[in-house]
Amino acid sequence: MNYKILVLLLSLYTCKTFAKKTEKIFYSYYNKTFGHLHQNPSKYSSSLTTITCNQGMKVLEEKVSVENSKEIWQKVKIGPYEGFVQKKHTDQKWNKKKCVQDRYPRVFDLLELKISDFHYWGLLYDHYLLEKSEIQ
Amino acid sequence: MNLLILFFSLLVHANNSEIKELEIVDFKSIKNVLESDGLKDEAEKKLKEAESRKKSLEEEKRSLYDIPNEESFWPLMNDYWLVKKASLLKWNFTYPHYDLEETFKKFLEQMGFYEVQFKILILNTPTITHFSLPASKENNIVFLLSLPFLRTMDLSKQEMALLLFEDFLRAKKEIFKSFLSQHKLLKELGKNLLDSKLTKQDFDDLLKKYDEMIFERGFNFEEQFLVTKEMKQYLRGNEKLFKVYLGLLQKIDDLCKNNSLYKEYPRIYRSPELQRGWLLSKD
Repeated sequence: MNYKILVLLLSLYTCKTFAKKTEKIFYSYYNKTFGHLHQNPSKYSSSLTTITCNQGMKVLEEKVSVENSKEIWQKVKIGPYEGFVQKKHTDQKWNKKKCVQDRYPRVFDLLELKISDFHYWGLLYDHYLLEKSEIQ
Repeated sequence: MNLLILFFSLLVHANNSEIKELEIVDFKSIKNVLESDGLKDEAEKKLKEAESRKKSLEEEKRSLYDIPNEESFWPLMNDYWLVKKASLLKWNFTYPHYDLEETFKKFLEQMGFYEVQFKILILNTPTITHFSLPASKENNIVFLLSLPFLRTMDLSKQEMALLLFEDFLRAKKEIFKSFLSQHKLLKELGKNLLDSKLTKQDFDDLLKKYDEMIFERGFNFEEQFLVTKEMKQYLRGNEKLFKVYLGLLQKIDDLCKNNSLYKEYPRIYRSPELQRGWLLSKD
């Protein structure tokens, strides 16, 4: 009898471990020139680090912005940091062609950007109100 | 014993010369065999492959020096200007969400403009009241809008949309772009840095031209007349909107005359009073 209980517990544990292992992990890639990893799902939230185009991120969960209910944010992990980026600023596929600094690296070098430029360039995409008119 | 050694050494020498004779092969005699083997074709194929690989590597190396084409250039330049002017334009500030982008999107659709991608940047300064930056065709237009200006005039969403639509028509007419068109940098678009002598100074000079257009030159009477006439055409079918637009111009005119912060407005947009006159003229 005891033997049967032991086998049952063991099989349950194995199932749980297997389920954990097969849990799908999502990755996304930043698709704007520069950006910021925010502490909270808000464009006004403080920045944990600056990110560049095509930066790979492990997606942990999705949240709605504090200020705007239409704005979806992804909680992501980049290296040691866990923070938020706007979902519309990410793609599920890596694509070199979308990044201006990868397509025209020498022209980009010519601009001789400073640290403060990187910082503001990252913030710019958080502050832009993006839209597109569509055929109804 | 000595004789025996001599004999053997002679024998070995004879064998060696026989081998050497065999080594001298007449390739001409086996040329046909080699050709039928397809070895020559294989060698030619490999040579071509190596050449094309070398060529594509060189092209890839050269592409690093590509200068953006027009479509990629304007978003890059607009961003660069906004980044460099961040402290003056004060766009990095907190404000409530007005859903302005949604209002303008609907307005564009109402006016029959579809698939127009745009960006609105709200500024916390009266230095620029409203402006549209250059763009490729009708896409990726950047609109700058001053929050102090909107608040001072207490504009409705419809009035804000009309103000943006006026800027949209200016961008569509490419007035800003034609002002910049003679700049050296714009003649090099789509080319390669290795063939041109572009420097950082050229980018800085273009930024100065941006400043000149936005802060000093603005739009002359002729340009303003054309834009106002086009506004009139679009609003002709909608009397209510036409009246809102007339009211908006009146509000701006009053503001320029009574508020010293905005006294420079008619120098950039000549002039709200004249615009009202053009709208009300019967032609």
